[in-house]
Amino acid sequence: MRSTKEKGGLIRALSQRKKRPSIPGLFRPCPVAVLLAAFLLFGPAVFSATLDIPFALGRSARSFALFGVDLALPDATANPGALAFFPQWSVFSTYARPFGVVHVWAISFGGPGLSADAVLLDAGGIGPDLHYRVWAFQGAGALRLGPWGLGGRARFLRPTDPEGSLGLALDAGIFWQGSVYAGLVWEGVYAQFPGEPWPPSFSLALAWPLEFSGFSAIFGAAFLGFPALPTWAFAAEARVGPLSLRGGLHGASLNLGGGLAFTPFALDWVFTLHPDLPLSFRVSFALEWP
Amino acid sequence: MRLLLLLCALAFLAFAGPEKLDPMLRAFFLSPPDLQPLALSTLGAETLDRPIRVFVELADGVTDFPGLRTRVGNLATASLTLPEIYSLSERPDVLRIRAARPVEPLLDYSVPEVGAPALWYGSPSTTGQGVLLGFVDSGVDILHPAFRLDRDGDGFLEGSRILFYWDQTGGSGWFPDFWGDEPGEGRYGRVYSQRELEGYIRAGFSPAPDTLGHGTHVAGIAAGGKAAGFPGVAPGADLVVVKTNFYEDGVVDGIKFVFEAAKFLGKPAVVNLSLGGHSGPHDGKGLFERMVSALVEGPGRVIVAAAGNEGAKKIHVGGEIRSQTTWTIVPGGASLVARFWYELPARFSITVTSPLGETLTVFPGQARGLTTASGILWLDNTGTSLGATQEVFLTLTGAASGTAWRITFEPVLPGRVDGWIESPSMGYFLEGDGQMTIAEPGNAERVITVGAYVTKISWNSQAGFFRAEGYELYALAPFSSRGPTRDGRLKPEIAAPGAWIASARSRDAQVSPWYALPDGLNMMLAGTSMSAPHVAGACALLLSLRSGLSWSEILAALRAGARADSLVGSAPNPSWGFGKLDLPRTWAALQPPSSVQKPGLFLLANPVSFSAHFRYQIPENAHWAELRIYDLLGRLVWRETLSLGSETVRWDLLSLSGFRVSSGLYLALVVTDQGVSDPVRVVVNR
Repeated sequence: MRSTKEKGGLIRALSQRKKRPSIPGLFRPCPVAVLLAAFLLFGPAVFSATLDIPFALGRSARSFALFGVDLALPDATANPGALAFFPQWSVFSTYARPFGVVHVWAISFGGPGLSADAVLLDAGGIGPDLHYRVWAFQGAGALRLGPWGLGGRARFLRPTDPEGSLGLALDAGIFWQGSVYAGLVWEGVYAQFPGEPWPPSFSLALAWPLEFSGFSAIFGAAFLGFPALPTWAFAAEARVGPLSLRGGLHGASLNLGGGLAFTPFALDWVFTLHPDLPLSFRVSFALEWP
Repeated sequence: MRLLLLLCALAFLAFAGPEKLDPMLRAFFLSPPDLQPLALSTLGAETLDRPIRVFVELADGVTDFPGLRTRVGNLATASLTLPEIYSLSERPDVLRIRAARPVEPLLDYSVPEVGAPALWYGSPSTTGQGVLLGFVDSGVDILHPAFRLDRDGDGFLEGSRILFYWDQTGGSGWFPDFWGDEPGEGRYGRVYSQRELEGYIRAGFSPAPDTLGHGTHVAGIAAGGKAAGFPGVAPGADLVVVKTNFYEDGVVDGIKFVFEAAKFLGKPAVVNLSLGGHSGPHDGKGLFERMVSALVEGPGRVIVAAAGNEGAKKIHVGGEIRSQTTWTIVPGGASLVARFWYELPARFSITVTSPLGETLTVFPGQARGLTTASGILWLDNTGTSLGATQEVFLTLTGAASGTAWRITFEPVLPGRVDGWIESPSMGYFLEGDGQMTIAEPGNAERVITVGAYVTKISWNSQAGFFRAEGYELYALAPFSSRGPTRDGRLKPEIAAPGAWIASARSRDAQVSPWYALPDGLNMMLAGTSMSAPHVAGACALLLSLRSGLSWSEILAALRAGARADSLVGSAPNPSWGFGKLDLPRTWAALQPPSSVQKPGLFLLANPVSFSAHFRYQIPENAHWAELRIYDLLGRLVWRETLSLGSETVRWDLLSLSGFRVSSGLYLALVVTDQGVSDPVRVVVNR
């Protein structure tokens, strides 16, 4: 539920990037091998993506606009490995109304190497005495080893309606910061949910940051949710001074958003357009320091 | 000669007052002294100073009179002694006075059967929020969990869903400000506010218990909450309860009270009347039915009534009488009241023959009594001032049950005659049929009248497995009263589940263990009393979505949306009306023409564990249609091509790759080349 914010966030991350050597050759074969191994090990898994959804819906407006590609950005919510590169301490609050059918509130606190998040997804009254309400909590930690960031995350899923339950998932993430950014996340290294399979999934993303005088941009692509529900995602972001514009394509959803930063505050928003479903919106407010 | 003329003039003057009375009241003034106690007894007044409940029709401009209780337009109810009735009848501005007669209460699976979940889980969705559901009945068990709320989430149902509870039958005390603030709002009995009821809930005591259990069951069908196991049709509606005295005037007062409460709260309201009787002309023109009709004024006001349970009771006879015609009355109790109705210019001489052959003949314009060895007979053939409608009134007292009394109509001028025995408990006609047996007020023009069909015939009771004999699943319930009305209008308008229905059980009512369900909170009952609240709840759901609907708009939608299957046959017909209640189709019928081209999708149960069942509607000009299921990230989970000729589809909770989806919230919608339906939220709960 957090994202880097320029000047304090992204620009700082970009400046750090320039000091690091680029070793793409070491990282590129790894995810392919991992994915192949996973497919051989787990085969086509049960479609369990909904157990991950409350966490995904808790992302900040910026992270959601760049959905998928955010795995390869120094944004701790999507990739625990990237948390090692997160430049500053911050508190985020997010409200979202996905497709006009549920309310999502999220708050997160974090800084370099550590983060904690809480998400509430509430669909309100759906029918007579039928509610759908889920809490999601996660805590993450990361280590930075040169251009690598290695992170782990514990996620707790706490549905309260229509039935109470408690699930746990442990994730691992790797982030590499070179001439491009790369992120690999293995969700569900260990996962348990009463009465439900919660099989693992793998996601991989690449982002290409560019910087010009007074202008910066990021382009990226991601392959998500393998093997349960594989999808592609593409996103781009442009920043000029305190203003930012961003957009992304994730499955059939088109995300369009922007941001406004007045240190130490930042406001981000995103609208999601879907060919069949109603318009979604999401807004985040952040306080960052130092 | 001059003396004779004077006597005739005096006789005419003396009769001017009683002519405004209905035959039941008139019986007291016209009968010989030895029969007057019987006439008093029939009216329910043992002494002259005991007030009698009456309806009064007034001339324009009359604002008040002593004893006035409820006023609607130029119709009123009142409580008057016989001398007061007589003096009132002499006033030139009083047009008609009629005794109010007693009415009778008309005695899981049915709620999904009518499609209510489609509106609970649809888009837009509602469970009846913002609508008042009024019940004029035997009361409601306020302690039953179906009518309570857990406001603070601690698991204890400390709140009451009943906003006002008027007990007409006893006590005296508080009335809300909106009732009694103008003439014609009778304050009798007492009213309990929601706060008072919640105090009684904390104390575990019901101040106005439902000892009959009928009202609790009826209210549970229309508005029961899920806490008791069987949610009603509109479990989100607020309740106003009138524990009625089961007299027609009390019913009118109760309806008016509910509508006044709705006006005070600024909400639409639906009144359910699971009661009725057969003391009027069955054409909607009696004072009771006219007054009920007159209360349905403006948008957001609906009255739903049970059709009656006399479909198989032989309480009706009728036919064109062009020659001497005889029907046979078989008493079933100590006293019997029968009424025959015809239209001028027809006139008849009537002869009643006792089981032992004693006869009483009454010519047009006459009223006479006869004491026979088999019972006491009173026959009034003087006619009424109900316009062209004429009433023949017959009472039989002390007749042995099962004896045969023949009533013969000899036409002076031929015409059609229809007759009803006031209650099936009083007896039946040997030649009787089930036609035109819609109980009043179900014949009223602005009342939505509901017949009953069968949705359950066996269940596990506290005494063991029970199977109700004589019922065919999904067929019309044999007891369901048939139309049309005496003036030829179609009634009932629609049919809904009425046999057998599981709903809330009052803790204060005696229930056979065969009808009591093992959970102790619910019981089984059958009757159009049970079908009417299904429609009342449906009306509440519709008003919750569109509060400005009028009764006629709702009735038109109910008719248009009614389902006519092979058991219904050609619809409309006087047994089923337009067919079976179908809420998704009814809601679709209410959509403005501009949105008729939009597909519709309704989920029939939620949450789901193994499969989700949908009903859908596709625009006529659509060439293709698909059901699509998305997760909350907008990712396509499932898609299926829909048959344009079908109406239902099932999703087996699988993903496109054929694997089980996990618990969570999914969005379902129908996509066509003509548009996309609103998304429906599907809760998968493994």
